Amino acid sequence: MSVTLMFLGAFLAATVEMVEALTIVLAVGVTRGWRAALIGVGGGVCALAVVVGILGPSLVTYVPLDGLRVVIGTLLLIFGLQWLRKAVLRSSGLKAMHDEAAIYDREVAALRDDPLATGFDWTGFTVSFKGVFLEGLEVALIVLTFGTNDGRFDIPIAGAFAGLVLVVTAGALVHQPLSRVPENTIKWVVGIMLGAFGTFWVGEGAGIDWALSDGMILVLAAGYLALGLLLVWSLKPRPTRRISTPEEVTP
Amino acid sequence: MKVIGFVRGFAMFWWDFIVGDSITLAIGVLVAVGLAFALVHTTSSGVVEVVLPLVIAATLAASLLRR
Repeated sequence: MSVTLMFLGAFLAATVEMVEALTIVLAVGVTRGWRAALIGVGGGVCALAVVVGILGPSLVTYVPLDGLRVVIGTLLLIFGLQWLRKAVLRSSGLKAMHDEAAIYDREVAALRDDPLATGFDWTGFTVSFKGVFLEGLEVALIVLTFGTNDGRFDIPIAGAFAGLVLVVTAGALVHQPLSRVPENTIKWVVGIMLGAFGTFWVGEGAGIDWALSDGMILVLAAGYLALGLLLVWSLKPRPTRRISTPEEVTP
Repeated sequence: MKVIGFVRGFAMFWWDFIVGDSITLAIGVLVAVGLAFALVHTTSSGVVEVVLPLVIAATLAASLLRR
């Protein structure tokens, strides 16, 4: 069960973050040329691979499992609750939905303002590299936390890679920002999953012997989903009742 | 001066990355973890099993209500 959940968690997290990175890379490619944009993508992906490749095995080898579970569980909890918080705020209408098309337009306008230099376009490279690296760093940490807890990195890496391939393929086919991806729904799912895994691992690291064993992850996920929906309901602005004046009442 | 600027920028990046929009979440999670450690040695595992998710749930609710 946790293998499937881990794959799904890494896959969905990578999908959301790579949709955001794709918007930036497309904006760079269209305004500054594809050479610098694609070299930036390659650099960003390599840098992320180095982070996972260096940190992953050393964490598993040198840090005791219980301590590791507390640290990674805490990080997952913070990330998960941040995602869930944003999803609740967007669903309740208190925060604007993420609009990839608008972000793309802003990026294009900003990049057009910067004049193209002769030779290699370092501005395009840097924007593209930063877009991929910064958006992907959270995914890399999620892959690291899943992998270090389970002692194997193939499942979360495969999940993240599948997300990356899906977004890159979709981006190459439609050649515009992927604004139809149900980003907030995915944020809900990933937020709930990270929160459930984080709580479970922090508990295990602290010494809790969960009564339902791995099944507790599903109970926690159901609890966080119910809490999220309750919070959306309570935060949604309601139409205020206006008391009618006597003139309005009398015909 | 350049080194200080770099260190400050690096620290700000990680602060923003981990704490994000809500410091209540980060503090609440740390409190929940600390509480789990304190309770697990003084009471039964079953109690902590209930208290830990409840404190985390309260943290999420508080961060949204204090926005």
